[in-house]
Amino acid sequence: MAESLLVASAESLRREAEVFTRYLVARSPSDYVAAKYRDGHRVIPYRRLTGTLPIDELLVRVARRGVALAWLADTYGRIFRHDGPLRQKLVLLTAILESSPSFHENMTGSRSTSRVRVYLTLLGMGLGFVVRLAVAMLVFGPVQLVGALTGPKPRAESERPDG
Amino acid sequence: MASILIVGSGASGVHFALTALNKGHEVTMLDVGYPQPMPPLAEATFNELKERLDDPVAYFLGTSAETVVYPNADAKFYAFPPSKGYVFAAPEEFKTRGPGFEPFISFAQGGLAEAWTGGVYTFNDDDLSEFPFEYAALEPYYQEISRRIGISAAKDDIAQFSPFGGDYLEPLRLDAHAERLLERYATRRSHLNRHLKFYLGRSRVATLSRDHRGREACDYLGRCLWGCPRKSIYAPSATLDELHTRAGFRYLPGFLAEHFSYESNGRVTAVEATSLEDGQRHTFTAERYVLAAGTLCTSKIVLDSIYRNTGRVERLHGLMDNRHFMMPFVNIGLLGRPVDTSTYQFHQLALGIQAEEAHAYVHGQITTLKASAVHPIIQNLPLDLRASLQVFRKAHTALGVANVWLHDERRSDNFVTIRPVEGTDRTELVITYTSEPPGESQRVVGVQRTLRKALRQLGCFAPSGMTRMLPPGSSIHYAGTLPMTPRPTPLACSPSGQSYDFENLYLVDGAVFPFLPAKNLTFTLMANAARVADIMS
Repeated sequence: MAESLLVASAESLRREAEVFTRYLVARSPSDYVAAKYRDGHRVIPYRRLTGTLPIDELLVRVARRGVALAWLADTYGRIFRHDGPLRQKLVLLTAILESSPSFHENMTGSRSTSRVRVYLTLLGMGLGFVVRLAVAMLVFGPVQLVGALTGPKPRAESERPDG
Repeated sequence: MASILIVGSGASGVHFALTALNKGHEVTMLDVGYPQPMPPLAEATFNELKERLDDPVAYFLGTSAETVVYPNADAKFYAFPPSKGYVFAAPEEFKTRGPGFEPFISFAQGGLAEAWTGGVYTFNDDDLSEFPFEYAALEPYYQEISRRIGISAAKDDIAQFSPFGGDYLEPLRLDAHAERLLERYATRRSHLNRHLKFYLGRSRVATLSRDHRGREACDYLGRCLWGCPRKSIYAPSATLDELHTRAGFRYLPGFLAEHFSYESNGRVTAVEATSLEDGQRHTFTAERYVLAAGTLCTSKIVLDSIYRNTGRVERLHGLMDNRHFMMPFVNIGLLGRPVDTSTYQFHQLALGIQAEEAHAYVHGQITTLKASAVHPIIQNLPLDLRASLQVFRKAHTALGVANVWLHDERRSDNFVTIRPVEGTDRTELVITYTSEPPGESQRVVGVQRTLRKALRQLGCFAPSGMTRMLPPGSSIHYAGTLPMTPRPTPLACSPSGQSYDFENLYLVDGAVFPFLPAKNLTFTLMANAARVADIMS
């Protein structure tokens, strides 16, 4: 049986750090970044929930498999699970990368670019996003729909009857 | 000369103390007083810290990355960093409850202004229309405070709304973004002033453009938010350092002032405080007592004192806090330019929007996002994170945020009170803030529309849907619970800060403001505290 998001092993987190860092900045993480990513999971908000949605489990499991799938899952997550576990993990990693030696340079605009190139980048990114979103909706949409119709909604631990 | 006991070492407390010492009084300051940790690597820039610190993630995000701004509907574009954690730490003994209101309370040496952004704007006569004195009464104290703290400023369009009183230092160096906004403003000024009632100028900041009274000038390290290692940005702890060198001053940290005792005629006889070291209660006496613990803590001390002495639970009505929104924008002309993070990180420009009623003037400050955290911004872009990051890198220099505040008024349904905590002899502070000034929602919509138009005139684009209205309490401009009134009124104080209920008790923090203009209040807090100390008979 696959492990739950709420009890992800050190190995799973190491794997996520590797794939997600390559997804975000096209480099492998340093040991420091990977360790910080693991430590950050002690306080990441979704772990305070009593359970997870099937769509969130699926998005993270798919994203772990490789850069292209991470991109697809994140595209879907941006629109339909904006504050879900996958986005939380990616934001955590972004925050770590921007604070880490050498990686912080990948996060800021230190090079000059022509205005035309900026507009072309914006256009390219926007179009790419729309295409990926269409594919992602076909892949992940049905799972979220079924989950929403059948499954219970996770609650914060403080909302537990005994909490 | 009198012996004076001051509770609190914030902006009001230290300037009251300094003026009182200058007049020959003996001053004892009671304080919890969490100290500021020493900023690391004093000469390192923002980016150098990331390379040179042993554990930069712990410094920027906390040991478990606990200050990461995660996605949710209320996510801000920046947050207080771990290095400012000491400012908001609270003793276990102090409890608050206030659904819908986010109270920030400080027990640090220097108080809340240890984490401020240094904005110093005088109140004019319109702002002071409900105060029992006019601008002329405050002006000498604004001048005195400006001499003490050092203010960098330029005389420009903002001066017509915030009088330019004092010998200010030359303004700080602008970055390319702020420079461009001011250039565009100069070419469209008459249209912006006439049609939108919009004004732009340099920020007035308590940040040094040259060395001043033992503090060093800003060296543009880009570390403002994380704590200036050169003390270029004024914080009340700098004045506290100065107080330590003065004869007649005694500082007692480690004590949480709980309440005062008083006689039937209202004369205060002692302050009772809990030692945070051993949990024991201690009694402190003086001839005069001064509450400068910040609006919420001062209110709690007064409420607890009445409760302890009479068993009555009172309500202090009229709690105020400025409504605050953040409007991010892109300066189109700067797209694609490389970013320079070695710059003054806080706001460099101030904006004003005139309202039909003069006291409803809207105040704002523009921050350009060069040396701030990246992750709170890119998670809000309408793309996946990889694409957002690439777009962000090309737009980094062009990004800015307008922080805008609206005035607030005293209303009876916004109040603070106390509630006994079961099983203890303590109380908790209960904050009720439910109503907004009449017509505020429409006013916010109108101000946002005006600001968006003005930004467009300045060559900027403010995407709709990204503006954040911050929840009540998050401005940290609390005021109004024990106001100054011209005539004796219960639970209020005289124009000279003397309580009408307790004859030898003085109130000198934001609790005494009868109105809260949109402008940052800290400069006026300091000036008013110095004024009260000066005129105290």
